[in-house]
Amino acid sequence: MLRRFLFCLFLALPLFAGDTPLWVLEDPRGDDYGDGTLLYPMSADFDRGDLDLLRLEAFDAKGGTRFVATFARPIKRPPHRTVDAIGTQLDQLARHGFYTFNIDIYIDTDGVRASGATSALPGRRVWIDEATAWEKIVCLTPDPALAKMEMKRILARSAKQRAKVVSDDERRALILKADDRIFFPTRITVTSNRVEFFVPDSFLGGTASPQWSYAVAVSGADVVDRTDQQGRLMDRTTSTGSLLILPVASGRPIDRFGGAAEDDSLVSALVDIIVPAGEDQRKVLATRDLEKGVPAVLHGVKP
Amino acid sequence: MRTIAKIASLLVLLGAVSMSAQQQQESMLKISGVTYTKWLWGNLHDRGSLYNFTTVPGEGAGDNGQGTEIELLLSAKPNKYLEVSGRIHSRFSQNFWTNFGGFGGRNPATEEPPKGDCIGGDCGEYDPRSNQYVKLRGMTVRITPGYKYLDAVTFGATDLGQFDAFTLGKIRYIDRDNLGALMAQGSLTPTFRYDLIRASMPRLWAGYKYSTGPYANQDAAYAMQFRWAATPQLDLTGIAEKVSDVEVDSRDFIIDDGRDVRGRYSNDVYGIKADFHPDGPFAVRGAFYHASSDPNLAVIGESDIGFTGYSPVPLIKADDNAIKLNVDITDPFKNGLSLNLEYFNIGADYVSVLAARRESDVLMTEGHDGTWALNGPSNAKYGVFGGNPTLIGYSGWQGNAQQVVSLAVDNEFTDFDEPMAETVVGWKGFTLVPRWQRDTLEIAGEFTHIDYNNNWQAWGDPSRDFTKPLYPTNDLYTGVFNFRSPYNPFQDKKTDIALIRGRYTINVAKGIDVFGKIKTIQEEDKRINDARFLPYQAGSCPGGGVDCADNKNFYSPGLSTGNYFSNPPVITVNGVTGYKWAPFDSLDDDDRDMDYTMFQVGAGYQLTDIIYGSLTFERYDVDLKDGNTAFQAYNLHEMSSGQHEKNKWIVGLRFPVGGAEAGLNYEYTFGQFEPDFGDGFVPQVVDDGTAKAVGVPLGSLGFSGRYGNWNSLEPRDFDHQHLKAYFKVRF
Repeated sequence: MLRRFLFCLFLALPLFAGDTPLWVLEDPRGDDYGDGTLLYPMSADFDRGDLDLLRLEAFDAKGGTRFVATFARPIKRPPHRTVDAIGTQLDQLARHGFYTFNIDIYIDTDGVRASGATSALPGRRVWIDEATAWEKIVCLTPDPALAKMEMKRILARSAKQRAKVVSDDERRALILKADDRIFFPTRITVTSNRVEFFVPDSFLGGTASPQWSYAVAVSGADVVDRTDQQGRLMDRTTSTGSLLILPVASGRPIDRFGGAAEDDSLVSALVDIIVPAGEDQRKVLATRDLEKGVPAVLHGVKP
Repeated sequence: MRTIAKIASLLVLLGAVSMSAQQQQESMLKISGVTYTKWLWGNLHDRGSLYNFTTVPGEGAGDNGQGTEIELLLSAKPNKYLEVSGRIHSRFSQNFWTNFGGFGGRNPATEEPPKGDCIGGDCGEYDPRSNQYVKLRGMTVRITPGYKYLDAVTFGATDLGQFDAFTLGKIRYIDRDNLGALMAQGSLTPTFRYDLIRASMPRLWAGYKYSTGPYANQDAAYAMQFRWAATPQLDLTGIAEKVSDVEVDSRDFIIDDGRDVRGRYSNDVYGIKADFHPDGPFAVRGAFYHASSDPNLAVIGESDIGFTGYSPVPLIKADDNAIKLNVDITDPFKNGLSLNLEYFNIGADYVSVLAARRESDVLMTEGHDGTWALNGPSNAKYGVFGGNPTLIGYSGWQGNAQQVVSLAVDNEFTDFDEPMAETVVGWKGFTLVPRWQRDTLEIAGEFTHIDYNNNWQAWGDPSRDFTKPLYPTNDLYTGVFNFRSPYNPFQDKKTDIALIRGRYTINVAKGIDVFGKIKTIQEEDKRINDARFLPYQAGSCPGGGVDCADNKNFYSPGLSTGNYFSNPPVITVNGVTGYKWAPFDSLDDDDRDMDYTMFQVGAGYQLTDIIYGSLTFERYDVDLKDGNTAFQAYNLHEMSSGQHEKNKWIVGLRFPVGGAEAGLNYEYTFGQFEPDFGDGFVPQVVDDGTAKAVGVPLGSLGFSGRYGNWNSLEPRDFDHQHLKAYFKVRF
């Protein structure tokens, strides 16, 4: 049986070839440490290098852009493992072949300073440089349907806190606006250490251009936040106002990233970011003003 | 739209959310919670509890009922150095809605004579499992002192998630964090980190015969682990663990100077792991473990486990290794084709009592499938004796098995839609997994060859009576599969697993996910492969209605398998005279030879923005020879030799909505078992009592075995349904 198996494998070897990217953003290997102090959770779900982004490429595809992110290590597949008291399986929650990371891409399409937004997705604890303020966000996350729903919920809650009363019409308008600005890919393919995801032209307004700026950040994904609290030291309310991101704490916990300084309310849980040439990721993420409440600022990068 | 403009733009809102998260401060006490509601239905109409499966004596399992759990999560940060968290959790167990709050019921404490275990909530308020009790869970204090070499000290509950599955692994038993421990973590240099732990041993199961003895209070495991990021490409991990189970020394009856203790059981495990992941397509991981297990026979007071003994540790001083080597070749030709190779060698005597019992997967192979879990054709154990019906149902569990390196492999208190864990103690072999992916098409294969370190005759020690083993037999490995029986008295087994699976998303509408798999398992086991272990001398049973002669074959002085596999009496049924079962006179009589094929096809679709649905069909064809009527599945279980055809339709729906989630899993399983138990015996007609006891048609044919156990010769048609619906709310 083994010989037959190997023969079939041999026959499959020469199949297919690659194609040329529209643009490429490179990132150094071994910089999956956030501001330099961040430590991976002690959980077996994470190993050093898992969230170490090496490259982000964009390819022209029919009707949109195919992004390809390459990591330092093979991407961990969601196991068929019970994660809550009701018997939910992790691979039911994360159906797209990965479960440990998010990739946020803040895209400045107009290149005009201060045109667009500088805030980041909830829980990221960074801002985007106003010189590359974004018009669109692409957020690759293991459970896009949930992320989309949570995003709208967070926005609606924020609107309600500010306006006290939000009608159904207003809520619907808000949701439409969110759909126009934030996209959670659902056409996703994981191949060893690469994840490919498709973003339609209808969202970006065209193929992802090398003339645009991209602020790219990788974070740990918190797909089981709403399911499994057993064995977690993190209290559930920590994630309020966060979009499926694994937070950071002091020490080295099992369930969160570690290494943060005590009382540093602005420490970001971003693990790896792509920075412009000549800049140091550690410096970018470590530059925050606790007194003024100003978090680290990410800069968009042109390919 | 005018009002929305007043509220703010979306971008401003996002900024507000972002800042509020940044400025969030810890409060003194936070309380949140989750509530789970489960609805089980099945046409077995079992009512024991709100879980589909358990083998724990005194507990119940069932496939029907509705119930609710609540879990309150408490946490606080009294100061910058301290975090406190815990849970207060009720249990599904036997808390059915039909208990009406858990009042009344029979009181087992006052029953004379006792009416048996409380099952299905019938003890009402007299049994915590049916009176909506709540328990303290997961109580943990974490101290972060801010010292240079010490990051955190934690005491209280832990799930051992920071260690590994070969030493201190996840050991969920309903909850994942039942283990109480004191733990220190820190770093000596930025790249050299350590963990120290003292964990209290679970008295419920973590010792010989699932017990740590009467004096459990002092039993503990001590472990240290270091992780060294030696270079950006090389990670090294070392771990040492020592388990100590002691008892009060009964010989020390003068207590003026206190009392002595002496060891009941000890278990030392050492491991080292290396993970080399250089630039480029190649990565290598290796792990080596050594375990020694030492039960103190003088304290335990037993000389063997018994032929139907259950234990997570053998009754021998055992020393052995476990080795794993993985090579990952990731897309070397840049065409989407990758290859993973794994070599594994788990010693037959590798005993790590705190290794992961489930929810871990130590090997790359898919292994066996959860639908075949226990010995009989419908997943019954000891089904040839009355009162032992199927435990999880004919459908078994869904999906393939997870592999754990534990003799205490555990699937208790689970439902049919969860994965099954199987033990891999004794496995050695290799796995190749090629995977090719392009766009939304993924095709992967697997070939695994398994040989077994526990291939032996008479437990590897012919000087002992094979019916008085030092190894736990658990259920014994008979039938299509058994998840927890690595040790069998006679084994000469090898297994080949091959599969190809694919997944493709058709870009129509929201994208239709289609998937499928073809899998085959070829498994053979000669069991007794040496004629000296045959029960009787050749020609003892001449046939022709002549009684067998009692000419036992002795494999050692005074020891014969004939003491267990006795010769058949001569009977006459409907005028036919012959043996009651076939004489055990050939090495082929107990042979196992399985030709297993599984086929799966399915599709999934995002029905709405939030509802995902899937439909799967699975077909299993198993041609199994598992000994004949001479062997009788070790005289203990339903024989499974014959043709098995099993079909499954599975419908899944998942519906997350605003802090809540609903889900449904419906499974319709139907199929047939056509027995083929060989010849050389006279079929018998079942009597009324036996028919009712073992659940076969009145007047049907079968044969009565050595213990009066009944195996039916009639084809069996199965038609089982399971449904589980749930609703989960965070608050």
